[in-house]
Amino acid sequence: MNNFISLLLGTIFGFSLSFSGATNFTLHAQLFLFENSWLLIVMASAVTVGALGVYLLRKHKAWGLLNNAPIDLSPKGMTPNLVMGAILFGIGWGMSAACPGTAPTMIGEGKLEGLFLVCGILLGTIAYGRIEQSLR
Amino acid sequence: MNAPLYMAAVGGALLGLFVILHFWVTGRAVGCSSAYGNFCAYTCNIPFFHRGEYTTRNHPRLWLLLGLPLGGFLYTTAIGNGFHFSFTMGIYDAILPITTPAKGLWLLLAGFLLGFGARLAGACTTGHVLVGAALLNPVSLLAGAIFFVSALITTQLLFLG
Repeated sequence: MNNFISLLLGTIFGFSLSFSGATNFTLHAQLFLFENSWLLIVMASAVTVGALGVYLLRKHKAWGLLNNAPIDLSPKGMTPNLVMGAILFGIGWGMSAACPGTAPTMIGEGKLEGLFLVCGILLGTIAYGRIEQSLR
Repeated sequence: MNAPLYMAAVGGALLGLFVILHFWVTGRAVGCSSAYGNFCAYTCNIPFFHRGEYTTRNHPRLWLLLGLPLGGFLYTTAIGNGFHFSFTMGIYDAILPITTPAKGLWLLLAGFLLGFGARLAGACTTGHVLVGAALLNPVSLLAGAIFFVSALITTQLLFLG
């Protein structure tokens, strides 16, 4: 059942990404060329609503519905190569106007770029898995 | 997009609400890039994809990833321009390689950098920006800022010529 619920959640997420214009190539380019503030407003609004929600979840010490345990609100820690990774990620973002969440969503919209991007992301993930031990 | 700017705030609010919904339903943060590793677990025997967070191959986060195209399809058929195949990238088409194979390779390379970079950085735009910034996590705010500046410089260079 957990897998099915996550499939539904992913559908809601994909719908929201499309609705926000996050799968629109031109909007990304215009954001970074300072020509259009659409995606900046999307991100600001998402983070504001998200932060407010996290505050409420913390305040009420909320439990997860499916796992029946306190919600894991622990932040992600520093990784040794975070800065290098973030730079590489940003180059990929600038090159394609996509990220690992929007690329599969594009496929559902019929944007064939998504297929190439998803294959590339899988290859990049495999490459990381191969060299991960030498990075420690 | 020709929609009024307040619709951007509505879209953002949807994403913010989704982050909270995911926390509340599953008890954990939503993530996208790590789920690609679950897919890799089915296709290759590299140890990294068979231990730690990848001990369970058939993890719900993989199913979340599979739901994304369904959501995109739902949007485009219900509200958007209707489903049709396309291989055009808006104003990028003016600066990207003209032939289809070259464009495919360009996208493969971009995807590679996204996948590799996200694993090095620990998360992607979902984990570090949508979730991490909502948690006010300094590490995620740093990662998100670098994502943004790096993409900004890349885009500026691309459109410069």
